[in-house]
Amino acid sequence: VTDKSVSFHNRLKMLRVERGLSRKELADITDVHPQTIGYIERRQFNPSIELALRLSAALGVGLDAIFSTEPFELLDDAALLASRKAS
Amino acid sequence: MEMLARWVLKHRFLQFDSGFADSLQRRTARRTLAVGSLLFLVILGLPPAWLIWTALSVMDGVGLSDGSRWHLIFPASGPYWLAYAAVTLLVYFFFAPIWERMLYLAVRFAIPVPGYTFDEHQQSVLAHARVAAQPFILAAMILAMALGTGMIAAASAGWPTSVPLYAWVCVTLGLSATSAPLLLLVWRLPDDTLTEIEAAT
Repeated sequence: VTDKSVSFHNRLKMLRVERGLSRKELADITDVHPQTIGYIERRQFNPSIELALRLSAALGVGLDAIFSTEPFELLDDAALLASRKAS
Repeated sequence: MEMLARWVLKHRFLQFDSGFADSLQRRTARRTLAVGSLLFLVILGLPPAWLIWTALSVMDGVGLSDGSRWHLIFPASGPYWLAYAAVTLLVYFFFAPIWERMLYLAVRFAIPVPGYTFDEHQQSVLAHARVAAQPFILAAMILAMALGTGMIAAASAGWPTSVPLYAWVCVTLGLSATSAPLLLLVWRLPDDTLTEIEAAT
C-alpha cells in the first residue's frame, strides 16, 4: 500500500491546520478522498503535479511552500515571533 | 420475514455508508475480518482436501477394482458425503455474499463506486494490491494443479469419490485467489478514523 519511493517532504498538515481545515474539508476542495490527504501528510504517497497544484491553490501558497525534496527547517520560538511580527 | 432480512441487509448492515461500514474501517475490525476470512476459507477447503489426501494415500496401490478398504475407512459413505456437501453448500451460499460484501466495505477506500471519489491514490492502492496478490494467485493455481495431477497419478480406488471434493477444493482455491487483493488491503490499509478525518488537527 505504501509507496516505497516517496522522498518528498511536505508541510501539508501544518498548513491545513493553520487554516482550520479538516482532512475532509481539504479533500472536498481538492476533489480527492479524505484518506488520500492523510497518506500525503504521512509521506506515504506523492501526489501528481495536478493534485499538488490543486492543494497549492486550496491552501493559497506556492508549491515550494508545501513540498520539498529537502527537509523543512524547524521553526524555533524566535523565528515564530519574528514571522508573527512581520505579518 | 425474507423482506425484513433483505431490508436489514440493505439498509442497516451492508450499506456502503452505514455505521457498520464505518466501524469496519478501524484496523482492529479489519484485521479480525481478515483472520475470520482465512478461517472461513480453511473451513471450506481443508476438510475436502484432507479427505482427498486420506483417500489417495490410504488407497494408493490398492487398484480401482478393490473398493472394500475404502468402504471400511468411510462406512456408509453415501449419506456421509451427501450431508457434508449439503452443510458446506449451505454455509457457503449463506455466508459467501455477506463475507464478500464485508470485505468490500472494509476496504471501500480502494474500491471504485459510482458517485464516490476515486482519486489517483485510490487507484494506485488498488493496483499495488493486485500486483502484491499475484504470488498468492499463482500458489493457488499450482496447488490446484498439483492436487489434480496427484489424483490422476494415484488412480486408486478412492479417487472417484474424491472428484467432487476436488471440485470443491478448486472452488475454495478460486475464491481465495480472487479475494487475495481484498484480503491484502483489509490487512494493510492504515487506520484513518472518521474522527481524525473530520477534525481540523
